[in-house]
Amino acid sequence: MRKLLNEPFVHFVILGGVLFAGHSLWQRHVTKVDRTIFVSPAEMERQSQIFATENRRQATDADIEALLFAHVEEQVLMREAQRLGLDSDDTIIRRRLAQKMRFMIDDIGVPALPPRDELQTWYEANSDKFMRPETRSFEQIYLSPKGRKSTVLSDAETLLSTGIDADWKSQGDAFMAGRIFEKLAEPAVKREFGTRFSIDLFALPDTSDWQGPLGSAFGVHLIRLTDVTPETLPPFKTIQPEVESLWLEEAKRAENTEALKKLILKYKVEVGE
Amino acid sequence: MQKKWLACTAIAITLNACQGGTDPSPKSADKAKDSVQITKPAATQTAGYNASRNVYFGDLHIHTKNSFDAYIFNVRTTPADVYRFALGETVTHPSGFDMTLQGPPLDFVAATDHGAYMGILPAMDNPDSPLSDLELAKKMFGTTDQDTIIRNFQTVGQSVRSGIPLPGMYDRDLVDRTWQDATSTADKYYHPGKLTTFSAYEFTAVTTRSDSGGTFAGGNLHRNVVFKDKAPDRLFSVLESNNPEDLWDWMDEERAEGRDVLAIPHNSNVSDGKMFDLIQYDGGEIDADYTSQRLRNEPIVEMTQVKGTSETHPALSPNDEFANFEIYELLLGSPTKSKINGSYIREALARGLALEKATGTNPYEFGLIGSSDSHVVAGAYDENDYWSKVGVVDGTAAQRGSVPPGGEKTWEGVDRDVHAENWFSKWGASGYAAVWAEENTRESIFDGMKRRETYATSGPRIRLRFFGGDMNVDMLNAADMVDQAYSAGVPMGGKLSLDGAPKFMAWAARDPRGAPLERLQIVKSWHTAAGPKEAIYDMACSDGAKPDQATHRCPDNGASVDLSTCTPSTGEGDPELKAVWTDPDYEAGVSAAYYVRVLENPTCRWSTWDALKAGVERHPDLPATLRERAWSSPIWTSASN
Repeated sequence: MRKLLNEPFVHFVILGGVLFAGHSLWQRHVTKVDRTIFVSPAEMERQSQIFATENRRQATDADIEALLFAHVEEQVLMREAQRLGLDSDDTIIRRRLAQKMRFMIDDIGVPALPPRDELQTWYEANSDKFMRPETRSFEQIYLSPKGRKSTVLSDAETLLSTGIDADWKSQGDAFMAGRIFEKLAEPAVKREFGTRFSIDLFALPDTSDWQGPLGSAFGVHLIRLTDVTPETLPPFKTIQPEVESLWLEEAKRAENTEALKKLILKYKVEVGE
Repeated sequence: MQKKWLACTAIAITLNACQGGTDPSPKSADKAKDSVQITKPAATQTAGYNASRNVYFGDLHIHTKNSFDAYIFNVRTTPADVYRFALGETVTHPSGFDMTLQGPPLDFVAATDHGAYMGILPAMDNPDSPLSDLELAKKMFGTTDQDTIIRNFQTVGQSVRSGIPLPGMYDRDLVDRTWQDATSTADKYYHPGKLTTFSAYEFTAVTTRSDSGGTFAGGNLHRNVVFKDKAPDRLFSVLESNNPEDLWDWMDEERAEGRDVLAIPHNSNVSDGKMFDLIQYDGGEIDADYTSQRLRNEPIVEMTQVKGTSETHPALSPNDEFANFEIYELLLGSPTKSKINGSYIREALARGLALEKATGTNPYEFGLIGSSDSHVVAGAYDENDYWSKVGVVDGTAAQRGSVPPGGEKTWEGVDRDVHAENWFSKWGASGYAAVWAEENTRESIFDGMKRRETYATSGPRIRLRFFGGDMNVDMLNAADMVDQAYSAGVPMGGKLSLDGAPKFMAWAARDPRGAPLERLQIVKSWHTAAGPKEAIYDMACSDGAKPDQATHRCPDNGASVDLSTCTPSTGEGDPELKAVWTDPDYEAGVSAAYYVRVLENPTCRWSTWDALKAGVERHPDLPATLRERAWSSPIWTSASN
């Protein structure tokens, strides 16, 4: 007997028996907790409402039965999968959990607007974000190369040197987009006349004389600037709502980045060789 | 399953909230309307408002990854990317290169994903989605074998064609959510005065040929459905019905609910003669009810796009030396040629007039636009920077047949790729939708389309005015020419009732980035007992020339291109062309449709540019050059009896 008790195999059997008994007891306990699928009336109500929205009709008893069955089936499959450890290190589950956490961080809430003077200081520090580009208003006399192919440039120069009177609107040729242009920024001029003309127009000195001639894909233009509004920063009080929304957008982004950074700092990262 | 329910609940809650929150008492609604009327003109005008109307350029036909075919072409870009590209930002092609507009930003744009299975393929490829567990999903996305992918993808194509949903794959709730996302993205990028976006999708109806033995061959009856502003929560796709007349019924209901909408037929060139048929979809006779419903829902037609230009076919227009322009004839994804009669616009205009004589109403009174039909969120409008439209399938020059396959330098003795030969090399770098409107807003541009004050271009932003009525030569140089023309007649898309020969005025200005203009033409389409008739008259010639009195043609202006550099070698052309014209062959009592076509000097076709950039021989069987052009919407004349 003593000899038998010294046998490693017997130790193994006894230990195994103890372990098995313990495991069954534990299982019985777990089962009590885990093997109940409780479907609340609220859950069933919710599902039949969804059914009604989807199908444009109320769920019948048969539908509700089917919904209940599908719900139970899903719960059973899910728990069995968990029991077998199928959820550990699953790409989809990992990604989903990370996504949920990210949503939680993003949902921390809208930051409160700072006091007015603080906001104004921020607006001044970030003035490039609110700058309005230079615009120019101008009148033009357009000379088409049609019928004066070789003389269009000299015709324009002659017209300019002999002086243009109040009757300028009847001189030169009709231009499809007209003769008078109001407060155009560079992209708009480019769109109407092309790049070369746009560069030349914005290089013209700010005088009220007729200037040019400027060339374009269409021909030759004499120009009179009627307004030059330099690049301007609109006063804070006129664009306060715009400043507020941009501040909020940036504050929110900064807050989210900060929250994520805090979490990352709780971890030690080791990259294996 | 759980996810789906949750999303549904969220939508249901939002809907309830909307209903509760925006239901004002009748009294306050009336009051609001009054005050709006008083303040409207000043309050709603955006920068650039012009009572005599500006021209706006846009694209109303673009697909994203949410289209079932685009996803298979490896497109992963989204509706937001459509708007980013339109604003001038850079987006990435599925083959890895950058795409950026060469010209100015677009003025208006719409993402038009296929309504059928919208957003379903991305879900099938997403392991997070239950749809990825479908057998079909595994066959399309669980393999790298192209043949398996294509074969299984064709199952989806077949379902779109038949209109019979595939069980399991047709997750209606996901389609709804994708569509609602698309409409809210369109709303988000709408900046009145800067960029107009529309909520839109494609209704992808196809007829089937009884003689095609179950192959892909079928007539294209595709339409893009464009909402003016508010869009419904659910779209109407071919999986509801592939009869376009059922689509119109649904659109009528939408309009009655206060959501104005129009549908734009496209690719009639491959409709197998069905787009402008002489009978209804189910074979019934065309009557006044059919006509008024068609006109109400389809004021404009897309005439040019990557997959061909549908103005006319050389066989229909033997006397039009410029008719052979970017012709594409094969039914989609098939080696079968589309039937010519009933597929082209010029003939359709004559057919409409014939139907008008027979039934009292004309179902083919429509305006014209162009668009790209790009499936990579970005239209390829420029010949010298072309990426075609089906992603990784034709993303390289060799794939689209403009350079020899396998890195060869010449075409001598190489095995040509059959798809590149028959399909992709025949496609073109087209086109734009141009709309005359007071300002760049949804209301103004949509109204311009309904009025048919629109035109199509093959890629350049040519400006084009066209008026009919009491026009005279003095107006051509008047400072207020446009205002005079509006008050003396009707603009493109309009109708004239008159006793004598009709007079027209047209004015075209070049794209400053494009080539000079070569000639301005007027095309007349009418109908006699003998069938459809057409005549072409040159209205104005470049370089000081005049049209010949007998042939009505301008002499060739001698412009040519140096094919070794793609720069102009000879000839000038004009920056603009304009004329007033009276029909010399007017016959009393004959109704007709007139539209303007303006041609540029020849320039290199995209296939020539591709070869030039690659330093190889250009394809000997493709046209080396083309004449870019613009086409106005017609003006219809009828005798006032």
